[in-house]
Amino acid sequence: MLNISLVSMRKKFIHKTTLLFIFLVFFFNLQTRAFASEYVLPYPGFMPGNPLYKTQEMIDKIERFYSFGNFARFKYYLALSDKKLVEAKTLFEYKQYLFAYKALQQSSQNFDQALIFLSNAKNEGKDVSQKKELIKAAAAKHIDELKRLEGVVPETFSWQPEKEASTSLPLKASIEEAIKLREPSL
Amino acid sequence: MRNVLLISYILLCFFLILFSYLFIDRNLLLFNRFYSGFSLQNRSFAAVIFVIFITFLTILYYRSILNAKKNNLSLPSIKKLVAIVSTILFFSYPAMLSYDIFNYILTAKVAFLYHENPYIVMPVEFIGDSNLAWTRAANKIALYGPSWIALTAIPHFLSFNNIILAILSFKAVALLFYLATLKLIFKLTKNTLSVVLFALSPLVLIETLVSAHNDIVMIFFALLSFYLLSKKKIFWAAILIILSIFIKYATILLLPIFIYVVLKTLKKEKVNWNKIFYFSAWLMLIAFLMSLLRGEIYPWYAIWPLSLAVLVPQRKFLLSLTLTLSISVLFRYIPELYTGSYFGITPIVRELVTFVPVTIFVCMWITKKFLWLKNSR
Repeated sequence: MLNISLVSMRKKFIHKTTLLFIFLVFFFNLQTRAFASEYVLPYPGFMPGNPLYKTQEMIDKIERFYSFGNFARFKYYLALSDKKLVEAKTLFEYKQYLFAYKALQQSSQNFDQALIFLSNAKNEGKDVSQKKELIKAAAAKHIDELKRLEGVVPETFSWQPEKEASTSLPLKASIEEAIKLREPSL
Repeated sequence: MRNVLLISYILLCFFLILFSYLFIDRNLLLFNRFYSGFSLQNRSFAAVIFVIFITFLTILYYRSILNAKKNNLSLPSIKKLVAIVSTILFFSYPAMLSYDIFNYILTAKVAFLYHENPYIVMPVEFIGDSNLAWTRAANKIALYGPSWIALTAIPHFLSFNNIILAILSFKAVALLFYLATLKLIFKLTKNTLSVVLFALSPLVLIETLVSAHNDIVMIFFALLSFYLLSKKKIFWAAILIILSIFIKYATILLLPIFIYVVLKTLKKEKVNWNKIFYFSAWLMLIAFLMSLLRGEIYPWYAIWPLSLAVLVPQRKFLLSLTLTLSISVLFRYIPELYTGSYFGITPIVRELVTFVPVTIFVCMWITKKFLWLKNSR
């Protein structure tokens, strides 16, 4: 009797272990996060309010002239998009919603520009396969960060400047729009 | 004697160009017919042959200097010798010891064919470009200044995207600046010895006429700026020194001396050009040693102090030091030629073969001075 119960316990153990193993194999194969986590966003730079913020903006604008050529422009706009996304993320965390909203819009505009210059490079006959992989990784990373933000920011934020009418900032909608812009690159 | 010298140089240069073709890169398909793989399969033999070449070039160099000192080498003879040597070496394979010429060609392509900023976009990003097969360090952005990048437009467009024409065009640039530098050295010194010291230096022959490094371009603009300064053309001299700095940056160390001369010129004071060249040579020697901070001393950097030391041949210690250095740096190639590796024993042996001869020379000089001082008391 004891032998039969030991054998059945052993069979159940093997059965459960096999099921767990199969589950884990499928679980890790379905994961796409590893790809996005290889792409590294920059550290946050100067934030609005810092005396050097405007200077940094000016340097960024001057750098645009230095970045001639479709590949160079692609790199420039992608780097700027990353930077503005990190800026937006930091500002959202500090509940500086107006600045965060502007930074997020700038990030999306720069991402769009990066896509345009990548397309121009392709039309020039350049091999853009590596750059496509790069923007795919960037898009995955951006979407990751944006989805995290979506969970913590309010739906809207009412911004009341002095002596002016208030403006309602559609924060969640702008994040969704930013995600939609990046999704085709995946 | 002059004919013996000429014939010796012709034979040596001829064998040198044959030797250079033993180093053809396997991926350079247009040179496929000449590819032998000799340098890879017979490393020790190639290293020994290279040592023999340096030795014979040094012997001939020494003979030429002696002849020039005794006024046995007239300017027309020097011109003839230089013309023949430079014509022969023009046809040598440039990537025997360094692949820099291919980097020049590919960087020019990035700028002028692909219309990309070579300071942002690396050559390796142009997947499928045929030049990548034989270019090393294609995963770096442009290392040289904008003056050089702009200048490379000329050989780039003359090459019509053909690698052989590109090699010849870039070698032609090096050759033209070499000849122009020699003319300038004579204009500055009116001394055939100075011309011979630079023109027939084994270092200059190998690194400029064979490997086509752009240091000669930087040196030419720096010397030309000094020449124009001596003619009191301050504005153009300033343009040229800036051009020189933006070739390879090393001549930035000459700026303090340049400004000093400008101030003296504006004050209408007399300039002691021998002192200027003397201190400039020491500054270029410092620049040469500072390249250690950047990572590595490359043999062709020794052209910087040599080009200024030859202007003041009466400064014997400086001249002897730079000449010793200019020969010893050529031996830096031997460990890698022999072992085929940049690692292991190679870095140590490289520094030993460069600095031990220089150290021995300095010690001998000091000892000689010390004994002379002792005897004169």
